[in-house]
Amino acid sequence: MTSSNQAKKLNFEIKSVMEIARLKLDEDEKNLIEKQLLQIFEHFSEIQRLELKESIDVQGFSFAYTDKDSLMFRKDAVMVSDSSGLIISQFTNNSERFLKVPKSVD
Amino acid sequence: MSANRSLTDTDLSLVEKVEYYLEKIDKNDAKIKAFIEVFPHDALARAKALEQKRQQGKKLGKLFGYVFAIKNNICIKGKRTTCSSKMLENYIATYDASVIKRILEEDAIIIGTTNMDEFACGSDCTYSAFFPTRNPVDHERVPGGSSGGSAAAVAADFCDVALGSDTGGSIRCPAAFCDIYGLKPTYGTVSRFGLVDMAMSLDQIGPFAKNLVDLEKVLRVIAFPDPKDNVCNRTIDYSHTSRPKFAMVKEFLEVVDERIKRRFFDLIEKLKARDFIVDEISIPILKYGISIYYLCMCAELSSALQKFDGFKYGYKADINKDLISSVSDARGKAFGKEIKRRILVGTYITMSENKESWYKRSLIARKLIQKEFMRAFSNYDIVLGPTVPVFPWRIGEIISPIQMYQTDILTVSANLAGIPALSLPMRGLELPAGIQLHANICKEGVLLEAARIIDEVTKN
Repeated sequence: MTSSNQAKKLNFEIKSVMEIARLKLDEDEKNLIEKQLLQIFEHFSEIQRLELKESIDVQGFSFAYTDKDSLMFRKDAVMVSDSSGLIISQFTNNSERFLKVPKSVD
Repeated sequence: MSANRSLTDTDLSLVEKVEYYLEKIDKNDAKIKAFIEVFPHDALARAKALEQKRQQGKKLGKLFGYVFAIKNNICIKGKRTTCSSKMLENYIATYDASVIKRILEEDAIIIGTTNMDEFACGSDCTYSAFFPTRNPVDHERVPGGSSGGSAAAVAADFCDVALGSDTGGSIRCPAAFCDIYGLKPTYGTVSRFGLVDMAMSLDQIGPFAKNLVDLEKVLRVIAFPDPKDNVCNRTIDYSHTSRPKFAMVKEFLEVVDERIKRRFFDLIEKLKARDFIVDEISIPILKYGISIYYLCMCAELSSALQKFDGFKYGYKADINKDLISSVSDARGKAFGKEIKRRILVGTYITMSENKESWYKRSLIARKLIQKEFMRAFSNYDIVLGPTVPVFPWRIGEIISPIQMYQTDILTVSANLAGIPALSLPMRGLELPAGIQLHANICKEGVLLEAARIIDEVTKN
């Protein structure tokens, strides 16, 4: 499959992704990284062939950081947990672009 | 021999010990390049102060006189915390990480900060924005990554012990490649406060050492519940059984270099000859470990790195443009290629139109890995296998991202499952390789005892 067909199949438009990521690349770098990313996604697409019967309820809650100069936490970081309360992921607040951020939970 | 024991046996003073290490660094680190910065004045001043404390008969800390090297993504107040990135090249930490505060309270000495792959994104320590680190065992080869500098510092005898961080194998891989001991503790037992995050649900700080005595000693100090890290509320169980039951995972062994596999099976036979149970088990989903890990990790990494925008920390954006251009430009200039790749992967898969097909699936698959390990640990105490499927490669030998990612295949599952894992030297081969042990959550006691057993087997 050619790169452009593969990109179309994935609906991967590197310029849009760069814009969301706030990441500027020069033309040569963009072309190189785009090719590499398509190879990476080709490899990772095996996950879409996995039979996954499990379901997962993704919840989230926010917490304030403890030190304003901390490189570790940011205000409004969102932690994502499954329905058993196991923390599975943590994000800064831009995750609202794909997760509905719930009200704060202490 | 542990670090403290050698100190008291030879009557070497702390100042002499630090001078010994500084001399070695001065002589050999120009070639190896383990360190970002060395602190000779601070280390000697600290050694003098601790000697006075000893002479005054005051109570000595549990790490009295241990000389540490610290991976440069762990904040030390007043010192550059670069994460080996141009983005933070001149960033000075404004506070001590919780683990740093704790080791200093216990009378440790910090000799310097160590090189790493940029923002911990790499498996060979050649992705540093500044320089690659070389393997002390063979200078033409990589030390492993991303905590390659810390591993190299211990292996080259530049310090007693070191701290690194492990998100997908970044302690265990360099431990294996540098022929030393490295431990990734249970997720939630060692505070990440002050660790510049790569992937919050996977990162853990852990120790490197030249022997298991020092490894455990450091672990017992750095592992404590910390309210500054919301998830650091687990307590390690140090109890153990003298006859652990071992399992080896079939899928791990399918991808390993034949020489490493032969030596591994040779060690298994020796274990069995000592009447230990070693069964083969199968966990098929582990074959997808790399995809599951990298999708989870990139999603979190792309979020974690959003705070580096050219304004708040480190690299300063050109403010003569509009805001978005300033931010995009700064990030484009200050991040390396591997960082940019991973940011773009993470950004793409967390876009609302893509979340179901990539990220959510990887979360579900991750849960399956956790369940499979829990199932294994209901019958066995330890899951073991080689640490890395290949020997340390020559610097520049691995050139494609996918090639590099694949070398993490044996280590990522411990991070995905949140379980502790330890690498110890395999020995008996022409190049370094590691044996990796996994134990159940918070069962570092069982892990360390099993490591002592295997360590003895590898030496005979």
